[in-house]
Amino acid sequence: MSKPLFPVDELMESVLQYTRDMTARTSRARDILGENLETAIASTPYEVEYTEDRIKLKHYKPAGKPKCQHPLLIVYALINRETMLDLQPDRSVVNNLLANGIDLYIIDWGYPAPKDRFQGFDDHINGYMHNAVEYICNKHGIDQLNLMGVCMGGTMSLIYAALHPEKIKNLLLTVTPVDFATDTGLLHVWWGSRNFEVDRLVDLQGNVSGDFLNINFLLMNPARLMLDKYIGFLENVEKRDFVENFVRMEKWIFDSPDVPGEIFREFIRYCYQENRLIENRLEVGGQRVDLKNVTMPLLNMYGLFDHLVPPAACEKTAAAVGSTDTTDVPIKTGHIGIYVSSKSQQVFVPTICSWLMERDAVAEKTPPGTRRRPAGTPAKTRTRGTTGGRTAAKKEAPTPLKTAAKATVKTAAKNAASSPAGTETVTKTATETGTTATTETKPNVTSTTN
Amino acid sequence: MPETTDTTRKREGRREDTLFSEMTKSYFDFWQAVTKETLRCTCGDGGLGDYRAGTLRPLTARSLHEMFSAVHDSMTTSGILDSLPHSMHKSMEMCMGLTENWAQTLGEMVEETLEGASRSLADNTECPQDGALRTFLAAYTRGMQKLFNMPKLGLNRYYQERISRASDQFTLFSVAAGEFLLLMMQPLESTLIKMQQRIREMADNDSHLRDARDYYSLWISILEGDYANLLKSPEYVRTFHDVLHKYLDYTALSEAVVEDSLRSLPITTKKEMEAVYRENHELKKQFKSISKRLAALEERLPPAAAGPSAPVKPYLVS
Repeated sequence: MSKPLFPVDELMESVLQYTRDMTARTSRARDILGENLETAIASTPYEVEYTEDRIKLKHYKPAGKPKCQHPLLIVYALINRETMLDLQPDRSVVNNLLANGIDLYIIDWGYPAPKDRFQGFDDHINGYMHNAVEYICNKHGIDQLNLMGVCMGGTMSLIYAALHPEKIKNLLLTVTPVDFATDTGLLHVWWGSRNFEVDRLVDLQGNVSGDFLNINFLLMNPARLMLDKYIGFLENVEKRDFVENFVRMEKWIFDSPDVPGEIFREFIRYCYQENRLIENRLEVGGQRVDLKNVTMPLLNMYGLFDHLVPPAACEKTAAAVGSTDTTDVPIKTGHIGIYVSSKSQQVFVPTICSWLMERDAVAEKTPPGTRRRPAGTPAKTRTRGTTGGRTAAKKEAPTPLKTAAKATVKTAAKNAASSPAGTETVTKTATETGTTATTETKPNVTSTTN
Repeated sequence: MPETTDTTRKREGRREDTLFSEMTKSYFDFWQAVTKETLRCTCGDGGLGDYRAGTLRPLTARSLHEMFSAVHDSMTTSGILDSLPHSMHKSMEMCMGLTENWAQTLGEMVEETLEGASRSLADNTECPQDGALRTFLAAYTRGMQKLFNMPKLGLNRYYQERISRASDQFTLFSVAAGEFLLLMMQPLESTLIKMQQRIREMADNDSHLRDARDYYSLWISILEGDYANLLKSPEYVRTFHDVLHKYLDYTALSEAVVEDSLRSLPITTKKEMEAVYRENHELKKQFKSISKRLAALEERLPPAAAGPSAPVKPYLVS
């Protein structure tokens, strides 16, 4: 006699129990769903200090005195909105940065209208971003600021740093694709192919609709994103906190502005399909983007389980730039999880803050080499491609980070003064314990500028 | 002996003809009287022979009246009015005949398409689901598509051609979208097969799952894996690009049709608006660039040259 495939009785009983539970849950959920749920996103107060066309520059002020000498400007991607950084009060990157004494500015790209369809990299980077940077520098009477990019915003920040290195004190890239010649991410497979006719898409559609992009993102994992997620919602529908967080996330995910057609075309054509950025072949506003001009300290954070921007797209950034002070922080999380998951919250912002403090903490006295202009006076134009405003090379490798929980930090100090001639020291630090794990010495193939 | 239906119909037709002639005659008589009266009012009681030479209105009225009288006479005396209903009937019959022929041809083509599709479907026993759309496409190409590709004639040929091409492209897009959806269904099917295998393996090892939720978790994880494999496969990428291309083809053609229809209305078309956007974008860019350069130049000027009332940064966009 053959064995039964199922324990039928037990299984049927389990199905019945599951159905009974679900019915009870949904009937209790009516009370919760019918109440006034607290689902507001981006509730941290800010002031809009500068506007240009559809762009707003939001200023978030820390409660006390800023702990960094230079304010931090965050440039979000043009896909979805920057509200993700302030999704809910207890998991807010913005709140955490403010709590750590960072004077914070964020560019809100707004909702592009059909008239914005011809805006490309040049308009966004040399136009809006540059004007925002100028505004902040003029307001604070400084020549430089700290710049942080998120995803596509990171790519734009890197381009900006290469074109205007004199404006950037420290550069922070988070989940930022730089090397597009990889097939480990589905977007690289779908959009990186020449058969993806981005020119026709943009010519016909103008701005690329947020819905089109959302469909692409949902198709990356249909089983989880279109089905399992909502089963999970039904199973937890009686938990008020869960429902509120779920609705907040839904609000953010489907708040998808259209992307200006021209910049989408350039991003896909030049980056995804031709991989010009890392090969220093990209031109923006008639100027070649040479990553060797990126000489300021660089922090590069990315998710090891990121399916949108896979690690392979981020790992070569440090080697491609001209900076002698680069830190790679891969975190065991995904593309959105890096900003919103509770585990990542313990790593992400603390790592950023400690890294910034090491390089930009407010000193008792203004250190030599930090120039301050009277606030409101315009900066003088500097020749591009200089040392990026850094007056002295960093003589020692940064101290190990002790705040991060599960991140691995790779710090590369390419400096002839601190390393044997022609070598590059790579310090891998396990930040969970705060102890230095390994130190490798390898031939330095990049030229040191400092 | 009772009259046959045909005879009755003929008699009713004749009666209708007479009625039509009478109505037309009264119509012409009425308007002849109106023009005559107009002429009398314009030229005075002297009537036709009394108009003052050289004045425009009487002259016009008189020539109008004479023209109308000529038409009236020729219509009422030559028997044209009597034969007019008959001619109209004939013309209508011809039009109906032509329409009927076209409809019949169209019907035959649709029939051929469907028959071809069902024949091919019946032959394709190995993978009916997968082949269904391709079979329909082959049958469509042999039948209906020819209709859309036929040369268009006459005044509206340009518009007919555009509409036909859009309709053709819509069918091709629908087929591609269908193929895409079918491909997206594949993991659902393959997951069920894999689930059966896993359940059998568990049964063999006496390691049953006892909770329905566990079965769901197993199913969703297999489904996720199958989708992951499918979504990076060359077949998926080809189908995805194909459906996008077809959609773009269809959009281009349907937008052209919409633009054609908008031409007669006082509404700006998308193409016209895009030209304005482009121009606006270029001008704005130039303006911003010039403003910045001007501001930089002003900064270089000594204070006296700039003048006491010169604003510090008048050109920065805020």
